[in-house]
Amino acid sequence: MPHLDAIITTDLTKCFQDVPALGNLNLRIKAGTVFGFLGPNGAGKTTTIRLLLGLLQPSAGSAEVMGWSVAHDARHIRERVGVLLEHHGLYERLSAYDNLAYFADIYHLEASVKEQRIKELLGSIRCWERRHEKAGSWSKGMKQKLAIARALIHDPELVFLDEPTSGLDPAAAHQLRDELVELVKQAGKTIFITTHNLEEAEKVCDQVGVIDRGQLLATGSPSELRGSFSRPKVIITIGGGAGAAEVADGPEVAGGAEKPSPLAAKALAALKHVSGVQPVAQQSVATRGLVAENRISVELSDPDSVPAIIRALVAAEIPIQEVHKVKASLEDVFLSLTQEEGSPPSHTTVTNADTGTAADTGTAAGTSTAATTAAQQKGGSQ
Amino acid sequence: MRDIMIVFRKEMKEWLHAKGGLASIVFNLLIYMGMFGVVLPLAQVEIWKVPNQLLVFYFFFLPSLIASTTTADAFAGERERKTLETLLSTRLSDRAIFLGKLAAVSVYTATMLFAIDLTVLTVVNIADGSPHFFMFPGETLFMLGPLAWIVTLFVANLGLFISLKVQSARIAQQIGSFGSLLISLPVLFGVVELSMSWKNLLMVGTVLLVAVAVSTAASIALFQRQKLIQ
Repeated sequence: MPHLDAIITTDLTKCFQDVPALGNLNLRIKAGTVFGFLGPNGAGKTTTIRLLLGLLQPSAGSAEVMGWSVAHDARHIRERVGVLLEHHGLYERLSAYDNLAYFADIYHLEASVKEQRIKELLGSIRCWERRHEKAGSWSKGMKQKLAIARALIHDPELVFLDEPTSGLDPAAAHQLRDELVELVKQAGKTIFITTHNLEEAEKVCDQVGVIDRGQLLATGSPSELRGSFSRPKVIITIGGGAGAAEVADGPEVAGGAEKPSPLAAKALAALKHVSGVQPVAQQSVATRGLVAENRISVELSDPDSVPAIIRALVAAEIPIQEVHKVKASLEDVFLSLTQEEGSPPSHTTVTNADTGTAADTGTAAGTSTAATTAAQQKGGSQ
Repeated sequence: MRDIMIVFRKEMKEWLHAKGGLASIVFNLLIYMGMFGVVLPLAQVEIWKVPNQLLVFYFFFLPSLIASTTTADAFAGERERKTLETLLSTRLSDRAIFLGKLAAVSVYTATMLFAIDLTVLTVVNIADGSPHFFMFPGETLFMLGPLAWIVTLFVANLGLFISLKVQSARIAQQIGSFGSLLISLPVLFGVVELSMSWKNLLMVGTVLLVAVAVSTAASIALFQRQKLIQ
């Protein structure tokens, strides 16, 4: 019977010689979902995968993968999962075909099934014709694809992908991402993917978890996290007419860190007292070394405050060219969660009964949406 | 057993497909055969007729040299090429991985030794010039066969210990070769007297067999995923 939860961790902790690499990780990942584990280098993503595969023993806490304990039944887990680790791990002296055949043999695939799977998978990455070439002669992107095919050779229920697009150029990463989505979603697998490519996470993942310094900071769907940890923004382009002349005479841009132009400074001052508004920055686009266009970025704690913003700017006689409302990206969420240097990261539960993931440090997985973190509280006071 | 064979077959295939492939293996074999199968036996034809302690070169040093090279590649090489962790993430048991590799090292070394010994036999027969076919004495056959095989297994186990401790195959290989040379030299230069009687040879064989059993058990105990992941 398929397990409803593919992965459950309870206070999972790993220390290396008393140095904590992962602390009290609580995760619940539903089967059939794509879960993205986001975090900077050294955050604990790979350690988590190694723990879930039973390659490392937890220092404390426990974890279950498809109902099997990582501490006691690791072999059963490894029988049912496919893995692409940080390094592709291909045998470069062997051909692409032999690489897949070796892993098919490891998982005891019958000869006819083995042939069919290899043909199917090499076909899906459009490499069947190149099957007899040594894997070492392939490009990095092709090797990654081959390694993903290898991870899927035995049709596993759960696939771990550790930074699958790392080191690829944007075009190759994009193509691999698309193929990955197609490959895994068609087969209805559970995917546990670690990445620091936020665009990738946003496109591929049903759920994401943000981890930093071994601590899980938040989990939820990308849209839930955006809603909980960052606010919509309004980008206001000012200038034009008399204002344009004023802007055109503005300061020269030096490394993109210029002082606000007088007009922008005036606009920022006008917005200071508008309720529900947090002026963030002046953004300038340089043309021939001069500020040719001024943009004011404004964070909205109250999404209905746009008319008040416009009224304040008009009252201050700021010429407005364009008002553009933008949604916060997952990158904004990630940065707001991981860039609180000096303070220990706090945990957050953003759970949704329908979307399938919950994370919390102290309580069992909830079923309602809730977001309470230091980051949020900080945001709320702005 | 099936899993051991899967690992064994992969190891053999990887060696055959290494840089230079089969040609490189044949070239190496020809060098070994030329050096240890032709040149040395021609210089010391007598030691093949009456068992001599110089044969320690053939039943100890040569197996050690070949086995340490292949063992280093099988274990440290796998880590060096970053394929070890992926292999450890599969359903294969630690024991199957270890024994599969050990079997591959043993078969490869034994094949090389057999080819060298056959060359020696041919060369000694030609050099002897006798119309009758000459066959090695029983003691010599025992040294070149079972004893050399036991030494191979023992060195492969030691090679594993070394491979687990060092990051590169080259270092593991150098330590293995140097170690076996260090052990062989006192016997080769007559510093240590070794009687070639059956009694002594059987005793040496028994001691080595016990050492192999102990080192294999220790290696299997040591070859654990959680100790290999760093």
